[in-house]
Amino acid sequence: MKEVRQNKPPVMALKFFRWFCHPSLREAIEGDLEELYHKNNEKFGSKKATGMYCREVLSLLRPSVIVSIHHLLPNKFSNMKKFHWLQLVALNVLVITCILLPFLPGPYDTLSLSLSMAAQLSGYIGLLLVPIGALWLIQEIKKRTGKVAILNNWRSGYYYAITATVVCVLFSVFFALILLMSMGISACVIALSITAIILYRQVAAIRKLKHSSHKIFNTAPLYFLSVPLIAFSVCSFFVSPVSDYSRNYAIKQGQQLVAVIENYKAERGTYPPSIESIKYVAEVPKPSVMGISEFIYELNGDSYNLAFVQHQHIGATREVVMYNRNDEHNVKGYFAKYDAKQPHWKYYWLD
Amino acid sequence: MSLYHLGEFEEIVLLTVAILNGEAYGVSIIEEIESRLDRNVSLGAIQTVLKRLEDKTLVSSAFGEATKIRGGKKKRYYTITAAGKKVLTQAKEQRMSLWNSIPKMALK
Repeated sequence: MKEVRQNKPPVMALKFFRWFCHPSLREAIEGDLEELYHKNNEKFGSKKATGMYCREVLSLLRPSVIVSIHHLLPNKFSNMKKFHWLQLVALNVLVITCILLPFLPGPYDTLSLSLSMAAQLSGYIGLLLVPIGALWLIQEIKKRTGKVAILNNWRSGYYYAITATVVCVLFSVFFALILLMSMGISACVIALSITAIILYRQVAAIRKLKHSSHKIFNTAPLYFLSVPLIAFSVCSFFVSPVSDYSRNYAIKQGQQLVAVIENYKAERGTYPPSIESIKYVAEVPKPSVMGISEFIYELNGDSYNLAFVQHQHIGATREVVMYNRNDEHNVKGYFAKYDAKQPHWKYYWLD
Repeated sequence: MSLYHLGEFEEIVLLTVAILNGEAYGVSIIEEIESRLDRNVSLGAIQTVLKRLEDKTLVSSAFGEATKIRGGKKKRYYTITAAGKKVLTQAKEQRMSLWNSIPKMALK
């Protein structure tokens, strides 16, 4: 028993376990953990027993053992209702979906490109909101913990809200201008109207912040922190693999069109002068990716080019994917060129 | 139609609780399974299954004594309930019926 008294389970792991474990299960499981630790200590020595203890603690991280999410979060967030969390998660999921929309299989949709552009821009321009959100969140946490005696306009979040609103309005105007150039005046007017309605509703909420109390936790900084960071991470790490998927998907569709074109040549002795001339003979497959409009066909010497365009980072990188059976691809103005997985297909990145 | 469907691991834990006959708690269940089945199990997996079995009213639990080796923490003893016994019996009968239905040639 001397050994038992000398060796204690790792404190940090124990504290972690106590933090996440449901109070009704805590005593019995903590006893089990300690008993296992001492038995392992006698069998394998203290170092291995410590490792095994940590593994056992991690194995307990299960929904049936942990307390509710509200308990795990610091006190500062405890007055956030389930609805607020759902709203926050839903908005982030919406942004992620919008970013990835042009790369998903489905009929071509111009709106998917605009939505993706808006969501991607929120990841880049929205990074301006991150420091505002971080400073505001610190103030909110201080406010809740009672470290702030008197609330001034900074501590109440009033000035942070105004700064964030100005950034958001500038972003909306910038996006509306892009819509004006790409989709026309109607889209621009709709975007500006939505901005005006949201702004009108926010003004009242911002005014209320002047008289904010210590008890109320404002969830707004969590939006300013999470949305741009998540959008930026998705743009940085997920757009590339997802665009690989959409490219391969469209190429698969393109291979069917290649077969149709080759059939045309076998029957008539020449390649079709345009894609329209095939339409009378056979069904022309479409790329079937929401961000890819159509296949572009042109004769090139004694062969032909079959291509489609997709956007890597919308507004920045355009990708031309081209097929030429003689490998005589003739894309101009590219800054990078890659071989696709399928033979005779190459893709080019253009600014 | 059985009262509850038991997963493979659920059945093992329920059988072990029955084997230990009133002496079943987290550590003893792990040791029993490891010694009888030569299979490593974690405390997390055991706790999840015990919680599930308790929710299904197949086992019941009660606090026992605290010991020094447990840092003065009480054990939570699990015992099989009447519903648990019924489910185990049913599972055994179903398996036996399946075994008995296998043609002798098939296992030669």
